[in-house]
Amino acid sequence: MHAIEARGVTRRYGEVQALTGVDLDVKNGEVFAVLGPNGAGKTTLVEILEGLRRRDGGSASVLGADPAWASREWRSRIGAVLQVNTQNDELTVGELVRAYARYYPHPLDIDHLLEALDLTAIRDRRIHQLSGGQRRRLDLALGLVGDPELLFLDEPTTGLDPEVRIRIWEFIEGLSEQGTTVLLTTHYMEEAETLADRVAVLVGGRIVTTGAPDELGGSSGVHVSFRLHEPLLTVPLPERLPPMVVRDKDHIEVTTDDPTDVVTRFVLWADANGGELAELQIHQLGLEQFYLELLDHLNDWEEAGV
Amino acid sequence: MTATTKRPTQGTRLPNAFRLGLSQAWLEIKSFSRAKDMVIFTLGLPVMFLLVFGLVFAGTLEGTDVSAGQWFTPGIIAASVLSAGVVNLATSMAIERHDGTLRRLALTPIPITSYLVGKILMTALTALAMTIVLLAVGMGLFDVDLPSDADRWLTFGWVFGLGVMAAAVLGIAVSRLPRTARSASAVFNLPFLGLMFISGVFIEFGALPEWLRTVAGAFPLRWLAAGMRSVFLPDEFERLIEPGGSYRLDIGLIVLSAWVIVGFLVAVLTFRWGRERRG
Repeated sequence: MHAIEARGVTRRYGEVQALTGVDLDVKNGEVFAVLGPNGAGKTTLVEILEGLRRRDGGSASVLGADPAWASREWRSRIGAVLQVNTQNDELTVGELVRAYARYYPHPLDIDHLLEALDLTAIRDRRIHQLSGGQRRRLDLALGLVGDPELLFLDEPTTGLDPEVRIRIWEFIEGLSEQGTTVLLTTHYMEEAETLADRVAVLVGGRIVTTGAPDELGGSSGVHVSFRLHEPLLTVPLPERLPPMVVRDKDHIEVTTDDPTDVVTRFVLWADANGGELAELQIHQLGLEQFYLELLDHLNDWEEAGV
Repeated sequence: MTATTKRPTQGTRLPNAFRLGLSQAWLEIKSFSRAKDMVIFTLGLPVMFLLVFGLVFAGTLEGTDVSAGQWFTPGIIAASVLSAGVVNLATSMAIERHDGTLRRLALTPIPITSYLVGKILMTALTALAMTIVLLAVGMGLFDVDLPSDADRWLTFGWVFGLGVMAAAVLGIAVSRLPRTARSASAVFNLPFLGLMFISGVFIEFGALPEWLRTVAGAFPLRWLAAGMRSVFLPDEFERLIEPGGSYRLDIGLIVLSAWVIVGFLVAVLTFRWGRERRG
Protein backbone atom coordinates (compact mmCIF):
# COMPACT_ATOMS: atom_id res chain seq x y z
CA MET A 1 0.00 0.00 0.00
CA HIS A 2 1.13 3.54 -0.73
CA ALA A 3 1.81 6.10 1.98
CA ILE A 4 -0.58 8.47 0.24
CA GLU A 5 -3.33 7.65 -2.24
CA ALA A 6 -5.60 10.41 -3.47
CA ARG A 7 -8.27 10.07 -6.14
CA GLY A 8 -10.21 12.90 -7.69
CA VAL A 9 -9.72 15.29 -4.77
CA THR A 10 -11.61 18.54 -5.32
CA ARG A 11 -11.92 21.71 -3.30
CA ARG A 12 -13.70 24.97 -3.98
CA TYR A 13 -13.45 28.27 -2.09
CA GLY A 14 -16.58 30.19 -3.03
CA GLU A 15 -16.24 30.87 -6.76
CA VAL A 16 -12.65 29.65 -6.98
CA GLN A 17 -12.05 26.00 -7.82
CA ALA A 18 -8.79 25.43 -5.94
CA LEU A 19 -8.42 21.74 -6.79
CA THR A 20 -10.09 20.05 -9.75
CA GLY A 21 -9.78 16.30 -9.31
CA VAL A 22 -6.25 15.61 -8.08
CA ASP A 23 -4.88 12.05 -8.23
CA LEU A 24 -1.71 11.33 -6.29
CA ASP A 25 0.24 8.24 -5.25
CA VAL A 26 3.19 8.59 -2.93
CA LYS A 27 5.13 5.40 -2.29
CA ASN A 28 6.50 4.41 1.07
CA GLY A 29 9.97 5.83 1.62
CA GLU A 30 10.07 8.19 -1.33
CA VAL A 31 10.50 11.95 -1.44
CA PHE A 32 7.65 13.31 -3.50
CA ALA A 33 7.53 16.95 -4.58
CA VAL A 34 4.44 18.87 -5.63
CA LEU A 35 5.78 21.64 -7.83
CA GLY A 36 3.70 24.57 -8.90
CA PRO A 37 3.45 28.34 -9.05
CA ASN A 38 1.92 30.37 -6.22
CA GLY A 39 -1.83 29.93 -6.09
CA ALA A 40 -1.74 26.55 -7.85
CA GLY A 41 -3.40 24.80 -4.91
CA LYS A 42 -0.32 23.18 -3.33
CA THR A 43 -1.09 24.22 0.22
CA THR A 44 -4.77 23.29 -0.11
CA LEU A 45 -3.76 19.83 -1.32
CA VAL A 46 -1.24 19.29 1.48
CA GLU A 47 -3.63 20.56 4.14
CA ILE A 48 -6.33 18.18 2.93
CA LEU A 49 -3.86 15.30 3.21
CA GLU A 50 -2.82 16.47 6.69
CA GLY A 51 -6.44 16.55 7.85
CA LEU A 52 -6.40 20.32 8.38
CA ARG A 53 -8.84 21.04 5.58
CA ARG A 54 -12.00 19.45 4.22
CA ARG A 55 -12.21 18.21 0.66
CA ASP A 56 -15.39 18.66 -1.37
CA GLY A 57 -15.02 15.45 -3.32
CA GLY A 58 -12.81 12.49 -4.11
CA SER A 59 -11.10 10.11 -1.75
CA ALA A 60 -7.85 10.24 0.19
CA SER A 61 -5.95 7.66 2.16
CA VAL A 62 -2.87 8.67 4.14
CA LEU A 63 -1.01 5.93 6.05
CA GLY A 64 -4.08 3.79 5.51
CA ALA A 65 -6.64 6.20 7.00
CA ASP A 66 -8.86 9.00 5.74
CA PRO A 67 -7.17 12.20 6.98
CA ALA A 68 -10.54 13.94 7.37
CA TRP A 69 -11.36 11.57 10.23
CA ALA A 70 -7.92 11.16 11.71
CA SER A 71 -7.30 9.77 15.19
CA ARG A 72 -4.70 10.77 17.76
CA GLU A 73 -2.83 7.59 16.92
CA TRP A 74 -2.72 8.60 13.23
CA ARG A 75 -1.50 12.09 14.09
CA SER A 76 1.33 10.60 16.10
CA ARG A 77 2.62 8.98 12.90
CA ILE A 78 2.82 12.14 10.78
CA GLY A 79 5.01 15.21 11.08
CA ALA A 80 4.50 18.57 9.44
CA VAL A 81 6.05 21.90 8.70
CA LEU A 82 3.44 24.45 7.72
CA GLN A 83 4.08 27.75 6.00
CA VAL A 84 2.85 29.65 9.04
CA ASN A 85 3.95 27.99 12.23
CA THR A 86 3.54 28.26 15.96
CA GLN A 87 4.35 31.52 17.74
CA ASN A 88 4.95 30.80 21.46
CA ASP A 89 7.34 33.73 21.39
CA GLU A 90 8.36 33.72 25.04
CA LEU A 91 9.42 30.07 25.21
CA THR A 92 12.92 28.90 24.37
CA VAL A 93 13.82 26.56 21.51
CA GLY A 94 14.55 23.71 23.92
CA GLU A 95 11.34 24.23 25.89
CA LEU A 96 9.10 24.18 22.84
CA VAL A 97 10.73 21.09 21.34
CA ARG A 98 10.41 19.33 24.70
CA ALA A 99 6.74 20.38 24.95
CA TYR A 100 6.03 18.93 21.51
CA ALA A 101 7.92 15.75 22.37
CA ARG A 102 5.42 15.16 25.19
CA TYR A 103 2.54 14.91 22.71
CA TYR A 104 3.99 11.79 21.06
CA PRO A 105 4.19 8.18 22.21
CA HIS A 106 7.82 7.61 21.16
CA PRO A 107 9.60 10.91 20.57
CA LEU A 108 13.16 11.23 19.32
CA ASP A 109 15.98 12.05 21.72
CA ILE A 110 15.83 15.84 21.98
CA ASP A 111 19.56 16.43 22.43
CA HIS A 112 20.33 14.46 19.29
CA LEU A 113 17.60 16.18 17.31
CA LEU A 114 18.75 19.68 18.30
CA GLU A 115 22.33 18.71 17.51
CA ALA A 116 21.36 17.34 14.10
CA LEU A 117 19.59 20.59 13.21
CA ASP A 118 22.37 22.86 14.54
CA LEU A 119 20.07 24.14 17.27
CA THR A 120 22.12 23.14 20.31
CA ALA A 121 23.90 26.49 20.56
CA ILE A 122 20.59 28.37 20.57
CA ARG A 123 18.46 25.98 22.62
CA ASP A 124 18.06 28.54 25.41
CA ARG A 125 17.18 31.38 23.09
CA ARG A 126 13.61 32.76 23.09
CA ILE A 127 11.68 32.09 19.91
CA HIS A 128 11.04 35.76 19.12
CA GLN A 129 14.83 36.26 18.94
CA LEU A 130 15.40 33.70 16.17
CA SER A 131 16.41 34.50 12.60
CA GLY A 132 14.40 33.16 9.66
CA GLY A 133 16.74 30.21 9.11
CA GLN A 134 16.85 29.30 12.81
CA ARG A 135 13.08 29.54 12.92
CA ARG A 136 12.74 27.16 9.99
CA ARG A 137 15.11 24.64 11.60
CA LEU A 138 13.04 24.85 14.78
CA ASP A 139 9.90 24.17 12.69
CA LEU A 140 11.66 21.11 11.27
CA ALA A 141 12.57 19.95 14.78
CA LEU A 142 8.92 20.29 15.84
CA GLY A 143 7.79 18.35 12.77
CA LEU A 144 10.29 15.57 13.43
CA VAL A 145 10.31 15.21 17.20
CA GLY A 146 7.51 12.63 17.11
CA ASP A 147 9.62 10.40 14.85
CA PRO A 148 7.07 10.44 11.99
CA GLU A 149 6.70 7.84 9.25
CA LEU A 150 5.46 10.55 6.91
CA LEU A 151 6.63 14.15 6.88
CA PHE A 152 4.78 17.01 5.16
CA LEU A 153 6.90 20.01 4.22
CA ASP A 154 5.00 22.98 2.82
CA GLU A 155 7.56 25.18 1.07
CA PRO A 156 10.31 24.31 3.55
CA THR A 157 12.92 26.75 2.24
CA THR A 158 10.90 29.65 0.86
CA GLY A 159 12.51 32.95 1.75
CA LEU A 160 15.72 31.45 3.13
CA ASP A 161 19.21 32.33 1.96
CA PRO A 162 21.00 29.79 -0.28
CA GLU A 163 23.37 28.51 2.39
CA VAL A 164 20.57 27.66 4.84
CA ARG A 165 18.55 26.15 2.01
CA ILE A 166 21.33 23.76 1.07
CA ARG A 167 21.80 22.66 4.68
CA ILE A 168 18.09 21.94 5.01
CA TRP A 169 18.22 19.97 1.76
CA GLU A 170 21.06 17.87 3.12
CA PHE A 171 19.05 17.21 6.24
CA ILE A 172 15.98 16.13 4.27
CA GLU A 173 18.13 13.82 2.14
CA GLY A 174 19.40 12.25 5.35
CA LEU A 175 15.85 11.64 6.54
CA SER A 176 14.93 10.04 3.29
CA GLU A 177 17.90 7.68 3.48
CA GLN A 178 16.53 6.49 6.80
CA GLY A 179 13.21 5.62 5.21
CA THR A 180 11.00 8.58 6.13
CA THR A 181 8.41 9.30 3.44
CA VAL A 182 8.38 13.00 2.55
CA LEU A 183 5.74 15.00 0.70
CA LEU A 184 7.02 18.47 -0.02
CA THR A 185 5.61 21.40 -1.92
CA THR A 186 7.80 23.96 -3.56
CA HIS A 187 7.87 26.54 -6.30
CA TYR A 188 11.62 26.10 -6.72
CA MET A 189 12.39 23.69 -9.55
CA GLU A 190 15.88 23.26 -8.19
CA GLU A 191 14.47 22.06 -4.88
CA ALA A 192 12.27 19.46 -6.55
CA GLU A 193 15.14 18.35 -8.80
CA THR A 194 17.56 18.00 -5.88
CA LEU A 195 15.34 16.27 -3.35
CA ALA A 196 12.55 14.44 -5.07
CA ASP A 197 12.37 10.89 -6.34
CA ARG A 198 9.23 11.91 -8.18
CA VAL A 199 7.61 15.24 -9.00
CA ALA A 200 4.03 16.20 -9.76
CA VAL A 201 3.45 19.54 -11.43
CA LEU A 202 0.32 21.22 -10.07
CA VAL A 203 -1.06 24.13 -12.07
CA GLY A 204 -4.45 25.76 -11.67
CA GLY A 205 -5.68 23.05 -9.32
CA ARG A 206 -4.84 20.05 -11.48
CA ILE A 207 -1.81 17.83 -11.81
CA VAL A 208 -0.56 18.23 -15.35
CA THR A 209 2.27 15.72 -15.25
CA THR A 210 4.03 13.35 -12.84
CA GLY A 211 7.38 11.60 -13.08
CA ALA A 212 10.99 11.41 -11.98
CA PRO A 213 12.74 14.78 -12.33
CA ASP A 214 15.03 13.56 -15.13
CA GLU A 215 12.16 11.87 -16.98
CA LEU A 216 10.12 15.05 -16.93
CA GLY A 217 13.06 17.00 -18.23
CA GLY A 218 14.22 14.28 -20.62
CA SER A 219 11.79 12.12 -22.54
CA SER A 220 9.10 14.68 -23.14
CA GLY A 221 11.39 17.64 -23.37
CA VAL A 222 13.68 18.28 -26.28
CA HIS A 223 13.98 21.83 -27.36
CA VAL A 224 14.44 22.73 -31.02
CA SER A 225 15.02 26.32 -32.10
CA PHE A 226 16.09 28.10 -35.27
CA ARG A 227 15.70 31.34 -37.25
CA LEU A 228 13.96 31.91 -40.55
CA HIS A 229 15.10 34.18 -43.36
CA GLU A 230 13.36 35.26 -46.57
CA PRO A 231 11.63 33.72 -48.41
CA LEU A 232 10.44 31.51 -45.50
CA LEU A 233 9.12 34.42 -43.37
CA THR A 234 5.94 34.79 -45.40
CA VAL A 235 5.22 31.11 -46.01
CA PRO A 236 2.71 29.30 -43.74
CA LEU A 237 4.35 26.83 -41.31
CA PRO A 238 4.05 23.08 -41.94
CA GLU A 239 0.87 21.38 -40.76
CA ARG A 240 0.39 18.88 -37.90
CA LEU A 241 3.12 20.35 -35.66
CA PRO A 242 3.30 19.47 -31.92
CA PRO A 243 1.29 21.89 -29.77
CA MET A 244 4.32 23.56 -28.23
CA VAL A 245 5.44 25.79 -31.05
CA VAL A 246 6.27 29.39 -30.25
CA ARG A 247 6.94 31.89 -33.01
CA ASP A 248 8.46 35.29 -32.35
CA LYS A 249 8.83 36.96 -35.75
CA ASP A 250 11.74 35.07 -37.34
CA HIS A 251 12.50 32.93 -34.28
CA ILE A 252 10.84 29.52 -33.88
CA GLU A 253 10.94 27.34 -30.78
CA VAL A 254 9.47 23.83 -30.57
CA THR A 255 9.32 21.57 -27.52
CA THR A 256 8.82 17.94 -28.45
CA ASP A 257 9.40 14.29 -27.51
CA ASP A 258 10.33 13.53 -31.10
CA PRO A 259 12.95 16.00 -32.31
CA THR A 260 13.87 13.92 -35.36
CA ASP A 261 10.36 14.20 -36.74
CA VAL A 262 10.13 17.92 -36.09
CA VAL A 263 13.50 18.75 -37.56
CA THR A 264 12.86 16.54 -40.61
CA ARG A 265 9.57 18.20 -41.33
CA PHE A 266 10.97 21.73 -40.98
CA VAL A 267 13.97 20.88 -43.14
CA LEU A 268 11.74 19.41 -45.89
CA TRP A 269 9.42 22.42 -45.61
CA ALA A 270 12.32 24.89 -45.88
CA ASP A 271 13.75 22.99 -48.84
CA ALA A 272 10.43 22.91 -50.68
CA ASN A 273 10.10 26.67 -50.26
CA GLY A 274 13.63 27.47 -51.37
CA GLY A 275 15.13 28.52 -48.01
CA GLU A 276 16.97 27.06 -45.05
CA LEU A 277 16.89 26.96 -41.23
CA ALA A 278 19.49 29.25 -39.63
CA GLU A 279 21.08 28.79 -36.18
CA LEU A 280 19.44 25.37 -35.69
CA GLN A 281 19.83 24.20 -32.07
CA ILE A 282 18.62 21.01 -30.42
CA HIS A 283 19.02 20.38 -26.71
CA GLN A 284 17.59 18.35 -23.83
CA LEU A 285 15.58 20.36 -21.36
CA GLY A 286 16.29 20.28 -17.62
CA LEU A 287 13.31 20.08 -15.33
CA GLU A 288 13.45 23.81 -14.81
CA GLN A 289 13.11 24.65 -18.48
CA PHE A 290 10.52 21.97 -18.94
CA TYR A 291 8.50 23.44 -16.10
CA LEU A 292 8.74 26.99 -17.35
CA GLU A 293 7.73 25.93 -20.87
CA LEU A 294 4.85 24.01 -19.45
CA LEU A 295 3.60 27.03 -17.50
CA ASP A 296 3.95 29.20 -20.59
CA HIS A 297 1.93 26.85 -22.70
CA LEU A 298 -0.74 26.36 -20.09
CA ASN A 299 -1.11 30.13 -19.95
CA ASP A 300 -1.43 30.26 -23.73
CA TRP A 301 -4.11 27.58 -23.69
CA GLU A 302 -6.00 29.35 -20.97
CA GLU A 303 -5.90 32.64 -22.85
CA ALA A 304 -7.13 30.83 -25.93
CA GLY A 305 -9.98 29.46 -23.85
CA VAL A 306 -9.02 25.79 -24.24
CA MET B 1 23.63 18.73 9.47
CA THR B 2 22.68 15.09 9.36
CA ALA B 3 19.47 13.36 10.28
CA THR B 4 19.20 11.70 13.66
CA THR B 5 19.45 7.98 13.97
CA LYS B 6 16.08 6.28 14.13
CA ARG B 7 15.30 4.36 17.22
CA PRO B 8 13.20 1.24 17.09
CA THR B 9 9.54 2.08 17.38
CA GLN B 10 8.15 1.11 20.74
CA GLY B 11 4.49 0.62 21.54
CA THR B 12 2.15 3.40 20.56
CA ARG B 13 0.89 4.30 24.01
CA LEU B 14 -0.30 7.86 23.75
CA PRO B 15 0.44 10.23 26.64
CA ASN B 16 -2.22 10.73 29.32
CA ALA B 17 -4.51 13.66 28.44
CA PHE B 18 -4.75 15.15 31.92
CA ARG B 19 -1.01 15.03 32.59
CA LEU B 20 -0.46 16.71 29.24
CA GLY B 21 -2.94 19.35 30.41
CA LEU B 22 -0.78 20.02 33.45
CA SER B 23 2.34 20.45 31.36
CA GLN B 24 0.39 22.74 28.99
CA ALA B 25 -0.56 24.88 32.01
CA TRP B 26 3.10 25.03 33.01
CA LEU B 27 4.01 26.26 29.51
CA GLU B 28 1.28 28.91 29.73
CA ILE B 29 2.59 30.10 33.07
CA LYS B 30 6.16 30.27 31.79
CA SER B 31 5.13 32.21 28.68
CA PHE B 32 2.95 34.59 30.66
CA SER B 33 5.46 35.28 33.42
CA ARG B 34 8.15 36.14 30.88
CA ALA B 35 6.07 38.78 29.12
CA LYS B 36 6.70 41.34 31.86
CA ASP B 37 4.50 44.04 30.39
CA MET B 38 1.60 41.58 30.23
CA VAL B 39 2.08 40.63 33.87
CA ILE B 40 2.23 44.25 35.02
CA PHE B 41 -0.79 45.24 32.95
CA THR B 42 -2.91 42.24 33.94
CA LEU B 43 -2.27 42.60 37.66
CA GLY B 44 -2.01 46.39 37.57
CA LEU B 45 -5.34 47.20 35.93
CA PRO B 46 -7.61 45.99 38.77
CA VAL B 47 -5.26 47.50 41.35
CA MET B 48 -5.45 50.83 39.54
CA PHE B 49 -9.26 50.66 39.57
CA LEU B 50 -9.21 49.93 43.29
CA LEU B 51 -6.75 52.74 44.07
CA VAL B 52 -8.56 55.33 41.96
CA PHE B 53 -12.06 54.56 43.22
CA GLY B 54 -10.96 53.85 46.78
CA LEU B 55 -9.02 57.10 47.11
CA VAL B 56 -11.46 59.36 45.23
CA PHE B 57 -14.51 58.43 47.30
CA ALA B 58 -13.76 59.23 50.90
CA GLY B 59 -15.98 58.40 53.87
CA THR B 60 -18.20 55.42 54.64
CA LEU B 61 -21.32 53.95 53.06
CA GLU B 62 -24.44 55.48 54.60
CA GLY B 63 -25.45 53.84 57.88
CA THR B 64 -22.39 51.55 58.01
CA ASP B 65 -18.72 51.91 58.91
CA VAL B 66 -17.68 50.34 55.56
CA SER B 67 -15.20 52.61 53.74
CA ALA B 68 -15.38 53.14 49.97
CA GLY B 69 -12.14 51.24 49.41
CA GLN B 70 -13.36 48.39 51.56
CA TRP B 71 -16.60 48.24 49.58
CA PHE B 72 -14.84 48.36 46.17
CA THR B 73 -12.39 45.55 46.99
CA PRO B 74 -14.74 42.52 46.77
CA GLY B 75 -16.48 43.86 43.64
CA ILE B 76 -13.20 44.40 41.84
CA ILE B 77 -12.04 40.93 42.93
CA ALA B 78 -15.22 39.51 41.37
CA ALA B 79 -14.66 41.47 38.15
CA SER B 80 -11.02 40.32 38.01
CA VAL B 81 -12.01 36.66 38.38
CA LEU B 82 -14.41 37.00 35.46
CA SER B 83 -11.94 38.99 33.35
CA ALA B 84 -9.30 36.28 33.74
CA GLY B 85 -11.56 34.18 31.51
CA VAL B 86 -13.71 36.41 29.32
CA VAL B 87 -10.91 38.91 28.63
CA ASN B 88 -7.47 37.35 29.24
CA LEU B 89 -8.13 33.74 28.25
CA ALA B 90 -10.45 34.71 25.39
CA THR B 91 -7.88 37.16 23.98
CA SER B 92 -5.00 34.70 24.21
CA MET B 93 -7.03 31.98 22.48
CA ALA B 94 -8.23 34.38 19.78
CA ILE B 95 -4.62 35.35 19.09
CA GLU B 96 -3.49 31.71 18.97
CA ARG B 97 -6.32 30.97 16.59
CA HIS B 98 -5.18 33.69 14.20
CA ASP B 99 -1.38 33.45 14.45
CA GLY B 100 -1.13 29.78 13.47
CA THR B 101 -0.37 28.31 16.91
CA LEU B 102 -3.64 26.41 17.06
CA ARG B 103 -3.34 25.06 13.52
CA ARG B 104 0.15 23.83 14.27
CA LEU B 105 -1.07 22.08 17.43
CA ALA B 106 -3.91 20.54 15.41
CA LEU B 107 -1.28 18.55 13.50
CA THR B 108 0.07 16.97 16.67
CA PRO B 109 -1.66 14.22 18.65
CA ILE B 110 -2.43 16.58 21.56
CA PRO B 111 -6.03 15.99 22.71
CA ILE B 112 -8.40 18.97 22.89
CA THR B 113 -8.88 18.17 26.57
CA SER B 114 -5.19 18.74 27.34
CA TYR B 115 -5.13 22.07 25.54
CA LEU B 116 -8.28 23.25 27.32
CA VAL B 117 -7.19 21.97 30.74
CA GLY B 118 -4.01 24.01 30.32
CA LYS B 119 -6.05 27.12 29.51
CA ILE B 120 -8.48 26.59 32.40
CA LEU B 121 -5.69 26.09 34.94
CA MET B 122 -3.97 29.21 33.64
CA THR B 123 -7.24 31.13 34.08
CA ALA B 124 -7.56 29.91 37.66
CA LEU B 125 -4.02 30.97 38.39
CA THR B 126 -4.46 34.41 36.84
CA ALA B 127 -7.65 34.92 38.86
CA LEU B 128 -5.92 33.79 42.04
CA ALA B 129 -2.95 36.11 41.46
CA MET B 130 -5.24 39.10 40.87
CA THR B 131 -7.27 38.25 43.98
CA ILE B 132 -4.18 38.05 46.17
CA VAL B 133 -2.78 41.36 44.90
CA LEU B 134 -6.14 43.11 45.36
CA LEU B 135 -6.53 41.72 48.87
CA ALA B 136 -3.03 42.87 49.74
CA VAL B 137 -3.81 46.40 48.57
CA GLY B 138 -7.26 46.34 50.23
CA MET B 139 -5.80 45.16 53.54
CA GLY B 140 -2.93 47.64 53.38
CA LEU B 141 -4.94 50.73 52.47
CA PHE B 142 -8.65 50.19 52.96
CA ASP B 143 -9.28 48.25 56.19
CA VAL B 144 -10.20 45.07 54.38
CA ASP B 145 -9.99 42.08 56.74
CA LEU B 146 -9.59 38.45 55.83
CA PRO B 147 -12.57 36.46 57.11
CA SER B 148 -11.90 34.66 60.37
CA ASP B 149 -14.67 32.05 60.24
CA ALA B 150 -14.86 28.85 58.22
CA ASP B 151 -18.32 29.69 56.81
CA ARG B 152 -17.02 32.70 54.95
CA TRP B 153 -14.01 30.83 53.62
CA LEU B 154 -16.38 28.14 52.41
CA THR B 155 -18.45 30.77 50.60
CA PHE B 156 -15.25 32.24 49.15
CA GLY B 157 -14.30 28.75 47.96
CA TRP B 158 -17.44 28.03 45.99
CA VAL B 159 -17.91 31.57 44.69
CA PHE B 160 -14.30 31.72 43.49
CA GLY B 161 -14.38 28.17 42.11
CA LEU B 162 -17.64 28.56 40.21
CA GLY B 163 -16.56 32.04 39.11
CA VAL B 164 -13.31 30.75 37.63
CA MET B 165 -15.07 27.85 35.91
CA ALA B 166 -17.72 30.13 34.43
CA ALA B 167 -15.06 32.63 33.36
CA ALA B 168 -12.91 29.96 31.70
CA VAL B 169 -15.64 28.15 29.78
CA LEU B 170 -17.20 31.45 28.69
CA GLY B 171 -13.78 32.70 27.60
CA ILE B 172 -13.30 29.58 25.49
CA ALA B 173 -16.83 29.83 24.11
CA VAL B 174 -16.44 33.45 22.95
CA SER B 175 -12.82 33.14 21.78
CA ARG B 176 -14.00 32.43 18.22
CA LEU B 177 -15.89 35.70 17.89
CA PRO B 178 -13.14 38.20 16.89
CA ARG B 179 -12.45 38.20 13.18
CA THR B 180 -8.79 39.18 13.62
CA ALA B 181 -6.22 38.90 16.39
CA ARG B 182 -5.95 42.66 16.52
CA SER B 183 -9.63 43.19 17.25
CA ALA B 184 -9.74 40.57 20.01
CA SER B 185 -8.97 42.87 22.93
CA ALA B 186 -11.62 45.41 21.86
CA VAL B 187 -14.25 42.74 21.22
CA PHE B 188 -13.88 41.26 24.71
CA ASN B 189 -13.33 44.44 26.73
CA LEU B 190 -16.39 46.40 25.67
CA PRO B 191 -19.10 44.00 26.91
CA PHE B 192 -17.04 43.29 30.00
CA LEU B 193 -16.78 46.98 30.91
CA GLY B 194 -20.52 47.38 30.43
CA LEU B 195 -21.16 44.39 32.67
CA MET B 196 -18.94 45.89 35.40
CA PHE B 197 -21.06 49.03 35.54
CA ILE B 198 -24.39 47.24 35.84
CA SER B 199 -23.28 44.48 38.22
CA GLY B 200 -22.57 46.46 41.37
CA VAL B 201 -18.79 46.62 40.95
CA PHE B 202 -18.41 50.41 40.75
CA ILE B 203 -21.98 51.53 41.41
CA GLU B 204 -23.86 50.34 44.47
CA PHE B 205 -26.16 47.61 43.14
CA GLY B 206 -29.21 48.84 45.07
CA ALA B 207 -28.84 52.27 43.47
CA LEU B 208 -29.48 50.91 39.97
CA PRO B 209 -32.99 50.98 38.45
CA GLU B 210 -34.83 47.74 38.97
CA TRP B 211 -34.96 46.74 35.29
CA LEU B 212 -31.18 47.11 35.03
CA ARG B 213 -30.78 44.97 38.15
CA THR B 214 -32.92 42.33 36.48
CA VAL B 215 -30.75 42.44 33.34
CA ALA B 216 -27.57 42.21 35.39
CA GLY B 217 -29.07 39.30 37.35
CA ALA B 218 -28.97 37.17 34.21
CA PHE B 219 -25.16 37.45 34.07
CA PRO B 220 -22.57 35.92 36.37
CA LEU B 221 -20.78 39.09 37.52
CA ARG B 222 -23.64 40.44 39.64
CA TRP B 223 -23.69 37.20 41.66
CA LEU B 224 -19.93 36.88 41.87
CA ALA B 225 -19.75 40.42 43.26
CA ALA B 226 -22.48 39.75 45.82
CA GLY B 227 -20.75 36.55 46.84
CA MET B 228 -17.43 38.33 47.35
CA ARG B 229 -19.11 41.13 49.36
CA SER B 230 -20.68 38.49 51.61
CA VAL B 231 -17.19 37.19 52.32
CA PHE B 232 -15.30 40.45 52.87
CA LEU B 233 -17.85 42.96 54.28
CA PRO B 234 -19.25 43.07 57.81
CA ASP B 235 -22.56 41.33 58.54
CA GLU B 236 -24.71 44.45 58.92
CA PHE B 237 -23.87 45.46 55.32
CA GLU B 238 -26.16 42.81 53.88
CA ARG B 239 -29.19 43.96 55.85
CA LEU B 240 -28.61 47.69 55.37
CA ILE B 241 -27.37 48.06 51.78
CA GLU B 242 -28.17 45.04 49.60
CA PRO B 243 -31.46 45.17 47.67
CA GLY B 244 -34.11 43.33 49.72
CA GLY B 245 -31.63 43.10 52.59
CA SER B 246 -30.05 39.92 51.24
CA TYR B 247 -27.19 38.82 48.96
CA ARG B 248 -29.47 36.03 47.66
CA LEU B 249 -26.53 33.63 47.33
CA ASP B 250 -28.99 30.77 46.70
CA ILE B 251 -29.96 32.40 43.40
CA GLY B 252 -26.31 33.21 42.78
CA LEU B 253 -25.40 29.54 43.11
CA ILE B 254 -28.02 28.58 40.53
CA VAL B 255 -27.13 31.33 38.04
CA LEU B 256 -23.38 30.69 38.26
CA SER B 257 -23.85 26.92 37.90
CA ALA B 258 -26.09 27.46 34.89
CA TRP B 259 -23.41 29.61 33.24
CA VAL B 260 -20.77 26.97 33.93
CA ILE B 261 -22.90 24.23 32.34
CA VAL B 262 -24.04 26.25 29.33
CA GLY B 263 -20.56 27.70 28.82
CA PHE B 264 -19.01 24.25 29.03
CA LEU B 265 -21.38 22.82 26.45
CA VAL B 266 -20.89 25.73 24.05
CA ALA B 267 -17.12 25.64 24.54
CA VAL B 268 -16.80 21.91 23.91
CA LEU B 269 -19.32 21.73 21.07
CA THR B 270 -17.95 24.71 19.15
CA PHE B 271 -14.22 24.26 19.72
CA ARG B 272 -12.28 23.92 16.46
CA TRP B 273 -8.51 23.70 16.05
CA GLY B 274 -8.55 25.39 12.70
CA ARG B 275 -11.52 26.31 10.64
CA GLU B 276 -11.78 22.83 9.25
CA ARG B 277 -10.16 20.08 11.30
CA ARG B 278 -12.74 17.71 12.70
CA GLY B 279 -12.42 16.24 16.19
